[in-house]
Amino acid sequence: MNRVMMIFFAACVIGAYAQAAVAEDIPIVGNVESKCVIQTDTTGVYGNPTPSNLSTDTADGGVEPIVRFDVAQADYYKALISYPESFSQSPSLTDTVTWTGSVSVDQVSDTNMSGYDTNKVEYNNTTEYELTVAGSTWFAVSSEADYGYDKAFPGGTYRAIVTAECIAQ
Amino acid sequence: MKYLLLALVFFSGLVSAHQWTPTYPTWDDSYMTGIVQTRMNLFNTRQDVDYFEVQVLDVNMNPIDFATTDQIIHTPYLKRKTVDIYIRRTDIDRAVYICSVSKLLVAGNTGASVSSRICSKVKHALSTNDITAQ
Repeated sequence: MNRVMMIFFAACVIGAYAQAAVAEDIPIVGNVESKCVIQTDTTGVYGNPTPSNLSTDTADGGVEPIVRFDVAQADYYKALISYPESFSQSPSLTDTVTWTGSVSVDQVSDTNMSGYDTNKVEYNNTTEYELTVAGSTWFAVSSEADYGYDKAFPGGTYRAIVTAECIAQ
Repeated sequence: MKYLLLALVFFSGLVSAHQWTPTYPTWDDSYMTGIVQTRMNLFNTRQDVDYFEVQVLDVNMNPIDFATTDQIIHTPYLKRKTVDIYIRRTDIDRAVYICSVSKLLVAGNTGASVSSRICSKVKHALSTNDITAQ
């Protein structure tokens, strides 16, 4: 009887080890769905070529910010990019600031996006692009601020905000 | 001019983004009479932003009343958040866009200077042609 018990016990132990040795499938699940991702690609900096002027133009010592839009599927979204019309942070300013700016395509991941700048729509400080091709598009935003009538900007930190929007169509 | 010290910051920070899905949500019945709900997913890949605002808008981007657990959502970097949004059934035809907007600190040290807004379009608000095209 003891022998039978021993064999039974051994069989259970071997079975348990065998069970432990069975590989388990661990699934990794992912969905490809239409989506838009807005990336801040390049840091922007205002240059100060004259006392009354702040500019992101390279010739003025600035750096134009680059915003990247990634769309997984074509024709699902439009991009709206607005250059700033006010400072979010600045020293106290007693005179008016005149804002100008523009948005243009800097790089594309697909040559079919080459027509984006031709077909863009501009109104107020906003530029609208139909994202008709799947992939990534880099948009350069230029911004310039002039203070008063050739008045010098007070010393301090100046910060402005670009708005990048991705709207489902 | 020579004493002028300007710390000129326009943008700073790392490459960053945020995601708001699905692109075309639908309204479903909720456990409350006269209220419908939908579920949105937020994924924060913006290292410079921790808070996002939810908006429900009509076709002209005007706000519509809605309810959610937090109108300002705290979603740290690389975290996902599921957001349930509730509106009145009577507002179904008006509610066209559901948006998430990154909230920037006005004078924070993060240097965030790009405000990103991603808007999904409610499926019933699409035309018949749009729905067929999917």
